[in-house]
Formats: sequence, C-alpha cells, structure tokens
Amino acid sequence: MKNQIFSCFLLLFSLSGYAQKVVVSGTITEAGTGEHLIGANVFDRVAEKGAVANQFGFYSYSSSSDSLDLYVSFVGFQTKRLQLNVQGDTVINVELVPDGNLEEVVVSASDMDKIQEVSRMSSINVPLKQIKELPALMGEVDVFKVLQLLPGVQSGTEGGSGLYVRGGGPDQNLILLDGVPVYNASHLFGFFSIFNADAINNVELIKGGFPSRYGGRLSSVIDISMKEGNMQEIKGEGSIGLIASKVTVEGPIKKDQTSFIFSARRTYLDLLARPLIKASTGGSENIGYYFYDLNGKINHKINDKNRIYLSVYSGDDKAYSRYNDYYVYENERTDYDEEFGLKWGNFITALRWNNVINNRLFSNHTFTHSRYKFDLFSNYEEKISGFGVDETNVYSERYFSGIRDWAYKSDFEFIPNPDHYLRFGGQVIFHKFSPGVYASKSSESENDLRLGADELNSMEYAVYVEDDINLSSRLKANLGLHYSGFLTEDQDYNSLQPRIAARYLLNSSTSLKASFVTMTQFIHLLTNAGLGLPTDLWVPATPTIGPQEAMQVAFGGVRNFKGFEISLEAYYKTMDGLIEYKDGATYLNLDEDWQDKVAVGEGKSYGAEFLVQRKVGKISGWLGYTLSNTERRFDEINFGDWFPYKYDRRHDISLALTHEWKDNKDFSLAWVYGTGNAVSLPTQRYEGMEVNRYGGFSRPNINYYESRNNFRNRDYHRLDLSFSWWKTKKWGERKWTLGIYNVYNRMNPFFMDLGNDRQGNRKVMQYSLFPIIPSFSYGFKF
Amino acid sequence: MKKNKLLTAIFPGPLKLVGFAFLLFACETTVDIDIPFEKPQITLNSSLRHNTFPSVRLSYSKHILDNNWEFVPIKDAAVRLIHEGETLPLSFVEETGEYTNLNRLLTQGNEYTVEVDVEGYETVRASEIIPISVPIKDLIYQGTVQVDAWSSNDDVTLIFDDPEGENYYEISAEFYRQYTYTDENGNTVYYEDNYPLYLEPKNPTYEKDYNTDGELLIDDKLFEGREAVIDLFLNGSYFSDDMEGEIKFTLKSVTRNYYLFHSTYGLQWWNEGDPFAQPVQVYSNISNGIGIVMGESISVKRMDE
Repeated sequence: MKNQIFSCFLLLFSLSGYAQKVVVSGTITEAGTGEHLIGANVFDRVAEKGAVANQFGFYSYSSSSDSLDLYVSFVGFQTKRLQLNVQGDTVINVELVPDGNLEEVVVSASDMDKIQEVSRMSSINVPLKQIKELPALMGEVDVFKVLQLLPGVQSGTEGGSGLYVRGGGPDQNLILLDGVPVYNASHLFGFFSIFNADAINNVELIKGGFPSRYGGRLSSVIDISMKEGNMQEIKGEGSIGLIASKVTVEGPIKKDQTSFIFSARRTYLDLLARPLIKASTGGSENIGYYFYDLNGKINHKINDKNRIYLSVYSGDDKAYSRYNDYYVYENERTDYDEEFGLKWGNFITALRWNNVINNRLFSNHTFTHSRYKFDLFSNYEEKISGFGVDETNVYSERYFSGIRDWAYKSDFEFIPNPDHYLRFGGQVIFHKFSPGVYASKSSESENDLRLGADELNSMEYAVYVEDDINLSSRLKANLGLHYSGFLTEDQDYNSLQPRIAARYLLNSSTSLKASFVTMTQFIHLLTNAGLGLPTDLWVPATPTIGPQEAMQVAFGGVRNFKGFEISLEAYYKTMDGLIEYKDGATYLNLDEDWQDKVAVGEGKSYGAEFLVQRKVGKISGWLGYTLSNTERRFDEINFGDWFPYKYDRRHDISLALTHEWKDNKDFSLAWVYGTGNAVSLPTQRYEGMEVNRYGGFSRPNINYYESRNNFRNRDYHRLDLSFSWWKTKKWGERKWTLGIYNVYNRMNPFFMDLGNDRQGNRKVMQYSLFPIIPSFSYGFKF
Repeated sequence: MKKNKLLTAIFPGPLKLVGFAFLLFACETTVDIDIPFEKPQITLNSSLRHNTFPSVRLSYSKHILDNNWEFVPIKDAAVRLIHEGETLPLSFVEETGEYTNLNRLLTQGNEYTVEVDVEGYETVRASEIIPISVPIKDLIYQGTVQVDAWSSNDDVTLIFDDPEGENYYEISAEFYRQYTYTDENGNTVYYEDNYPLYLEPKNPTYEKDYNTDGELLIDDKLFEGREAVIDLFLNGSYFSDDMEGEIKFTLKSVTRNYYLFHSTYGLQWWNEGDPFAQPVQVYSNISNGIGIVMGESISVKRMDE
C-alpha cells in the first residue's frame, strides 16, 4: 500500500515536471535587518502562479517561460516587482522594505496574500504588530492571550493563558519554539505565557487540516519562530512595565554573515514587596514570587547554501517563603531557618542546519533538547548552641517531576514545478519522564528516603510525506501521510495518519475548502481542575493507558474582499483515549499511581467559526464568532453518560481592533464574550444511609449531582483598551502605553462553590480574579 | 514511614503560596443562580442484614440551598418488602423513624425488593440480594512493630476463603476489655472499654483515605475465588500483658451496592472543601428516587492471646 502511494507521487511529479524550463529560487528577507520573511509571496503575473517562502525565507519558483513578471510581497512590506528574462536556473535573493504608511501599497500586498489560493485551512497567522498593539493584562504583551481571541480557541479560566482548541485540552497543543516542543508554556500559575513578543518573528496557529509534517498532538499546532538577529547593525528594544521589564538586543557579530539576538524578561513583584514584608515581620519572614525568560540565538551564514542557527530558551518560575527565628529552652538556644517553595521551568536548545541542496531542494536538520521540571521543596535547618552543645540539624524534602526530550529531525522541501510542493522528512524523540518522585534527607538519619515512580524512557518516531498539488486551475490539494510510533515499557504503538486538505476556487477571490485529518498523541497531561498549575504532570502512553487519537473533518469557504479576509468553517472532531481524573480524585493524593486515578474515555466537538480579519491598514484586527459543542464520555465518570466538557462554550465572540490614530499614536481594543464554563454543582441534598464516621454513627447530608458539569458559570465578557504614543529621539524611539484591563469591571467567574452569605443563608458563591486593572509601560527602541 | 503522611506535612507550605496568589486577586461574590427544583425526591435508605428485621428509612430530599439541615422521616408511606412473590408490609415506628416488621428475619442468599408508595409519586423501588456470610478462617498475630520511641503497632494477618464470583468485604476490628478496681470508698467498680481499632493494610491497594474509622472496604480482585490473606497493622499494641482484653474482628460480606455507596459517599465526604478535587456523584440504586438499598452479612472471630 505504502509503495503504491509513493509510486503515485513519483508519477505525478514526472508527468508535470518535465515541462519546466527555469527555476528561480532564493531567500526573502527584511531590508535593514536580514530577518527572514516567513510566508512571503512570490507571484508570477504571466503564468498566474507563485511560491511561498518557507520558515527560513527560502522560496523556489519554476516556470515554463523564461520571461517572468514576479511580484514579491509580504504583509506590512512594500511589494517589489521583478521583471526578468532569465536563462536557466537563477538565484534571486529579495529584500523587502517595511512600510507602515502607504496603505494603498499595503492593501495591494494583502491582495497578493490570497488566502483563497492556499489549500491549507483552519490556519491563522496573526501579525506580530497586532499582537504587540492589542491591550494586555497588566501591560504584559502575551502571544497566547491574543491567540485566545481567535475563533475556535477558548481561554480556559479567567486570566489564564491556556489554549483549548476546538474542544481539545491544553495538552493537545503542539507548541513549537523554533521547532522544539514546549511542555509548560505558562508563567505565574498560568496567567502569562513564556513567550516574549520582542524576541519573536512569526506566530502561526493551525486548528485543523494539519499538514503531515506536524504530529504528536491532537488539537492544534502553535508554531513560533524566534527572530534571527539583525545582520546589519546593533538594534535594541525594551520596556518597563507594572510587573515586569524586558530588553532585547540584536545585531551582527560579523556583518551579513553572523548575527545574534538576546532577550531577557523578569518580574519584580518580589523585589518591590520584600522590604514591606520584612518590615512587617521584623525581618524574620520573606515571601515572594518571580519569573524570568532568557532567549538567545546565533545565526551564521556559512555560504549562500548553508546556514546554521543555535537558539536557546531558559525560563523559570519560583514562589518561595523563608522564615527564620530562634527560641531558648533550658539554656540552649536554637536558631532555625525554614524555607519552602516551588519552582518550575523550561530549558530549550535547538541547533539547526539549513542546506539549499539545489534550487528545487531545501533541507533543514535540527537537533533539539527540551527540559521541563517542577520542584516542590521544603528545607529546615536548626543550630543548637548552649552549655557544651553545638549542633546543626538539617532536614529537607522534595517532590519533583518533569520531562526531558532529545530529538533529531530532518525536513526536506522539494519544489519540482509550480504544481507541486513536496515535503518529506522524519523525526525521532527520546523522552525521559519523571512522573513524580519524593525524596527526603535528614542529618539525623543515615538513610535518605526516595519514593515514587521510576524514571521512564520512551522513544517516539515519525516519518511524513506531503504534497501541495495543483490538480487544475481551480482545484488544489494537500495530500499527505504521517506515520508515527512510540516505544515504551515493551509496548510499541504505531499509527498511520492520512491528511487531506483541498480548496476549490469559485472565482479569483473566493474558494471552498475541505480537510480530513487523523492525529495521534502518545503523551498525556494529568491536570487538575484546568487551572494550569505547574503540578500538571506529563506522562507517556503505557500498556494500561494507550495513546490519544483524533479525527477531524472541516469544510468552509474563504473570500478575500477589499483587504478583508472572510472565512467561515464548520468542523467535526472525535477524540479517543482521553484521560480524566476519576470522581473524587485529587492531585493532592500523590502517592497513588496516576494510572489508578484516571479514567480513559472519548470526546467529540463540533461547531462553526466565522472570522473577518484585516491584517493591515489604519484600522486592522478581526471579528470572530464561534458556535460549538464539546462533550466527553468516560465509563467511570457520570455513570458512563456523555457530559459537557468543562470548557465547552456554546457562543464565543471576540473583537480585536487596532487603530493607527495618528503618525505617532495608536489605540486598540479587545472585547470578548463567551458562554460560561460548565461546572458541577449539586442540585439537591438528601439524607444518606447511616455511616460510621470518627467512631459514631450518623445519617449524613449527601450532595446530589445530577450529572458532571451540569451548570454553567455566568457568561464571560470583558473589554480591554490600550493607548500608545511614541516619539523619535536622538537615540531612537520611546513609547508610552496606557492600558485598562476589564474596563467596565465585570466580575467574571473564576470558579463557583457553595457557601453561606453574611446572614448564614446557603448561597452559590462566585470567586472572581481580576477587577478593572489599569497599567502602563514605557518602551524604547534604539 | 508512609509517604502520604510526609507529603501532607510538606504540602501545606507551598499550597499557602498558591492560596496567597489567589487571595491577592480573588474577589468573592454571592450570585443568584437558578437551580431547578420541581419537587423533592423520595429518599429511600435500607441496609438489609442477615438475621435482622427489615428496616427502611424514608425522607424527602431538599433543595441544595435549603437552610434546614434536618430531614424529617416520611410517616405516611406504604412500604412493602417482597420476597419470592410474598409481600410483607412494613409499618412506621415513631421511636426509630423507620419502617419495620418484627415478624420476619431477613435471610442471607435471598433477594428482597423494597417498594414504597407515597402520594404524588411513582412507586419507589429497589432490590437487593443479601450476600452469604464468609467465615474468618484464621487470625494470626505476627508480632509488634515499633513505629517510634513512643508507639508500636500490632501486625496481624486475617485469612478467609473468597467464594467464586464478584465479592466485596468490609473488615473491622474492636477492642473489648472488662476490669475492676476499688475506689476510695472501698467499692468495687466494674469498668468496660469497647472501641474500634484503626486498621492499616500493608497492601496500599486497600488503603482509602476516607476510611477514617479504620475499617477496610475491599473488593476481591486480588484474590478472586482463592484464599485471601490480608496483612494488617493495628494502630496500637493490644497484646501486651497489661491490656487484658480481647480483639474482635468482623468480616462483613457486602454487596456491590454497599461497596459503591460507601466508596462514593466516602470520597464526597473526604473531598469536601478541596477545590482541586473532582466532584463525586454518590451511587444510588433506587428507581424513581434516591438513596441506597444494600445488603450485608457478618461473621465474627475473636482473637485472644
């Protein structure tokens, strides 16, 4: 079967490839910085065909004519026209000039993007400019918070940066930073994501119709590319905000050959609060929290055909409490110092080698290492001194978990002619899971104690092939296969996943699209209550708990109309092998095997999404609406009946707008509305059978839940505003941003519980997190 | 040393930090949510025990936001116990608040159906088979384990033969002693101690947090149809010379309904107030109502040394 498929691919290339006379290839970069323009378009007006730059800015266009009229365009950049008469294969590297002012040119560029032309669907690219300009919680620009404003993406809990895409869970998102999977992408208990927008070059979200080159997760791909560093001159930018400050510096190490970028961000709530806490506790206590991110990248151009990149990310969160004091007992003084806290963080490295093998074949080889760890610790030290006594005792306890990956990936792109764009490659990942280890040490004891699950090694591997084929002038399809496997504990799981996406052009501005994909995921996230706490535990598929699988079909239409991209999509998705904590299970009970605490079940989600987006212009942004239904079913939960997923949201509306008010001022707003999350609340109370509790028999009050997630939180809505103005200075540019989060102070629900009001009456209590929050930040560029 | 206890000891600190973060931002609001409640449901509870008289407790459920925590028994219902086509009426006894019939003892191995008619409701019904009691084959004292400088635990093995099929058990133990002493007036005072013992299984599979009184509720998955050897620690040392008492072990054969009710209720009770815990639906086997009808048979063995 596989041989037949491969033969078909070869036949298609051979039939259509022989007629091509010339190949024009090269890279498309930003003038002045050398930054690659991912997704830039090359369009030949003569042949009415074109090519798109890949993640490394590389494009390849082949034509049957040696007379070319090429338009090279990218959103936010001036379109460049190249009229050429070429003799044979030619390399043309193109630099585009940024343009934020000439709206006419920009609209023209937008026309060239042709959302209706591409076969891929359910994919959204949000310009970084918009990400940076939209209002942000406490002034902290957050890529994930912006992605939450897109149709088909839910935000989970209030203020959280979790992403729930088309009914999927937060573990079902393949979050890639320069091609490396990121396992826990959040800071501050999930309120901020780890991605520093200043260090990012491109963000793409794929919700369905996944190309075969992606695999390993069920619900989405969030592909984030870091900037590569300015090849021409030293540049920098940064900001000072309410809770954090950041700085980014980039520039050439050797002009036009080697560049670097370095970016750092840190919160300073702990530094500000420390003197106050120390003053109020007489200096004996200190409590705090901080997080930081460091991004670095070196980009070296060996020659026109070879380039290497080394990128590093390191980020940690730490919450801590320290207390020291002393007491005197029978002429002995004991000074003690106790500390407890928790910390978690990611460390990611990637080494990549780009090789233009020839002007039709491009390759990228990547070695990556990724580590996520969570550490809960408690230390106690006492020094006893007195009559003849001088003794120090130390006790420490830790609970830690994590996951570590080593991976190698090779990707090839082969463009035999404008009718085919073939991608193929393979990947192998070695996972090392540490699913929860408890350790204690004591200076009084000879033996250290170490309990919990052993480290678990597993190997995940995948190969893929896909082709973007022009079947006719109107019909284009992306056909692919993704094969993946997983070896763990003598268990071998395999999966062959066909992927199909197609578009049919109705006219030059409108097309219909459809896709069918299957996905397999070999790892699970054990998560509690969806809060995105760092205690969430990544665990592999085991002989008992198998992999997750999904099937998704989607169809819809897109129209490119006067600078507006309009899309309407419907989808239906089924998921198997999902895990969920059983009734009553709680993550606090850490000594129970995780496999005994979870139930395995299925899920389904279906809905329709509408999006109107304008990427450039004085007023840009989007309006999105999602109508959806998401359910889950587990044999051991809710008596085996289907129940609404916690983040099932029937209606979801988001409006995100930025307005370049004047040459040096802009204004932006974001308004969101969503049906309340599903919650479980008891409806009745009844007298139970007599039970024995604490040595006595009594008839208890029992809460009666009709079903899991039988109620809805109140609807969620919120308006955020932001206003920025900037001024050019001798040294560069400075920018002030004022923002208001939750302008009309809506008390949105975080969770609900039963309680008593001040009169002692039983009531449903709602707990909210964020009232109206003003913020400001000072930004600079040089 | 049990890991769970250590974790419980270190976790409160970091959790305070999470709580601190939450309190930093959180606001509490009372919200009026329309929780539908057409009319109360009939609650039927009955434990059918071998060699005892049937007893049935009836009450109405309440709206979850009802401020009244007391449940008044329903007195005017028609309650029947049906066995092999024979119907036995039960009558209400004011003192106990239960329906009973003192002319019939329940017998193990029999299936009984409880039917209840209350005006305005469909017939409430549930059936249950009283399990056959399983004798304790042996109780072996294995010695005493020193826990720390101040306390020790008795190590005991309980053995019984598990019959074929799906079975459930509840194991409990009691300490009983009688002694006398002479008070300051020269009178002889007779004194009795009788209290349940906390059982801690060596096999963690049997351990449940919500078994706060030390009884063990287990299924037979680990010894299905074979000899069951349950190794236990008694929380304390009762075999020393100065204790002068006896330990009584009870092996209760219980039904699946009993097992599911106690495990789900136990979880709901144990997790109350834990915002990270999933909600628990307490098991019910009553048609047209809520509550539980469950069966049990006991066998007892004393342990003397």
